[in-house]
Amino acid sequence: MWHFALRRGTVLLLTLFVVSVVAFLIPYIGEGDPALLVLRARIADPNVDPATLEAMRRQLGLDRPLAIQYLAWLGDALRGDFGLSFIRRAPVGDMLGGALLVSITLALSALLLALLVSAPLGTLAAMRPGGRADTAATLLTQTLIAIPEYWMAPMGILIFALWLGWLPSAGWDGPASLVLPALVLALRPLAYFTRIIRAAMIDVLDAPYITAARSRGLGMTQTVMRHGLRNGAMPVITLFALWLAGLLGGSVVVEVIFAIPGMGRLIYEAVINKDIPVLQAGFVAIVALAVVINTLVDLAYLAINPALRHSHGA
Amino acid sequence: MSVVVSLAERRVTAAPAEPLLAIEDLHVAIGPSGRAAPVIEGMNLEIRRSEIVALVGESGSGKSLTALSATRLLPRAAEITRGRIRFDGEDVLAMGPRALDGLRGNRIGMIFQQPQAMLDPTCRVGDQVAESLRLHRGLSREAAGARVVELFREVGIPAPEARARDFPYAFSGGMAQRVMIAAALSADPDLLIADEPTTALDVTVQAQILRLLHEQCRQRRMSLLLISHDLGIVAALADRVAVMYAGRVIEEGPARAILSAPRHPYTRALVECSLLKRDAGGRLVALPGSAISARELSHGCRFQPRCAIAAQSAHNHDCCSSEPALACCHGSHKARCWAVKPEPEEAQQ
Repeated sequence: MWHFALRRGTVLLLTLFVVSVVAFLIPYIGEGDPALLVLRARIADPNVDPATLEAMRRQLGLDRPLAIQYLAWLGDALRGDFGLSFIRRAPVGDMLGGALLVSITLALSALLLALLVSAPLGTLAAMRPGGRADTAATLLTQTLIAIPEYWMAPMGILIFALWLGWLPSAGWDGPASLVLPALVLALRPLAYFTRIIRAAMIDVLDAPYITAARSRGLGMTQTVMRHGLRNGAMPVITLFALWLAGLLGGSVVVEVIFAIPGMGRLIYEAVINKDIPVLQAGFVAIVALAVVINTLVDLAYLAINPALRHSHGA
Repeated sequence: MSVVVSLAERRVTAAPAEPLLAIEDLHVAIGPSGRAAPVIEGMNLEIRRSEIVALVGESGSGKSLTALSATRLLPRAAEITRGRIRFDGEDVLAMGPRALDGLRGNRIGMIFQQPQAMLDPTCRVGDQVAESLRLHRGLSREAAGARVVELFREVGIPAPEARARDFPYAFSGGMAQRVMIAAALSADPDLLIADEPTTALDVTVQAQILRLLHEQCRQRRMSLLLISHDLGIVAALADRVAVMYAGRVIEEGPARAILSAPRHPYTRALVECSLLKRDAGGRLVALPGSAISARELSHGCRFQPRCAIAAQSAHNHDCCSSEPALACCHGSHKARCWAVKPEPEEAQQ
């Protein structure tokens, strides 16, 4: 177990190091002169005075060797200081923290909702392949996969906000404003979860230990609960983690349509405006979270499968 | 105490003459409905109380499907199309899901061929064995846990307390089969169905497991249906042997009679194979050809394509045109062969 933790920890640190170097180098991509980028962002005039440029280089510390610059930037970044946004002139760390919290809330709500529906639906479909529940599930998932969010979201607003008046149409203000975007965001993962749960459970329900459990007198439902779900959980956890990592980077369409101040909108606007510090911080944060999620997935595998625990020297 | 009393009551419910398990004219087909192919056709088998019956035959002959039919645990693709199955006087084919759950594990215990694959890898073995106890005997978690340790000791698992908390990956095939036996015995069933219980095990472990099964059956006065492809291994244990070929019983009778005087040419071949007999050239005797399944058959004796008697004798015509009935040859010894003539004293009776 310790061996495993050590190895995972090393991989995690290495990944973060590479990511930080790449993030640090973002300003050098394109025109190659960060000072010019900063000046361009501040003043509209395309013709920059060479003296001003030189002064800006010194002010930003760009006259120092690259390695020193990197270490200084890394030191600040580790303390959560990614500098000021070129556009909003606010500390990037604060902007990012707020947006991340919003995106995490939205992503987790959507994915847990998807799991809550897909677990029983997929299992039910797997218990009788080709049966009525299976046909209904296939129809539903095919529909959900085919319908894009930019159609689903306006329809949701139209029905639940404008016609029925149950939910706010947009904004980020309390739990009520979370419902509609989470619902829209949940539909596609719901479809994919249902499919993978169905496939996994069909395999599991054919396993010899299921017949053995039935031969001890366990009913079908009990058998599935006690011996089916855990064994079918592996691929579901993998897919869940992939979706979570993806949604943490923000879901631009849903965030823009519902006017939600999440990661998707933040990064979208930063790209449009060439807001380099925001891009750097966003990049580091998203990759770091993805690595953390992957580590959690591996730990979940260990928790579920005792044989794996054994082979990792528990 | 109450457990013991209820067991005693249970055992006297049926009339003594009635067999514990009676399978009559069983037909099982595999495949999508409409295009299903028959794999068991007209299977008959009876097991009396405290009796050990060996069901023998090559793979594909329908032994396992017969066993799974008895508890209605057939795989999805297989279906019972005809026949009657009675357990202790009750019609198993008429039972609803609740009644079946009350039958499985409780009155009929089962163990299978691949013991390690039969254990849920994510669940402690003790908890799996405890399932029957909690379900059928209503024991609390603690009481069931304590009983599991006792059962583990009975089936010869060393350090039972510690092993009960282990996961299946930590068990060898032989130990895993002992766990399965403990689970199958936990609710004191009247019948244990053992489907090739030693096929996947080492030879030395095989003998241990068979001895354990034999002991437990005698101690508990439990009936045993022992399924195997190896006549030599099971016949020594069994009171009675039934030999299956292509979905039907082709010979049955007392174990000693079957072993010492097999009447059906197929059984004779099985006996020779299990004794590792050699032919004139010193080569091991082998039965030519491979077993056909019930679906390939149109008419005639099922064994005729591989049968030396059919190829040589005057019976040839009968062998190809119609299937012989299961005919009495001596006492309860019966065989399904045109060449079998009843013993003289039997004929006079």
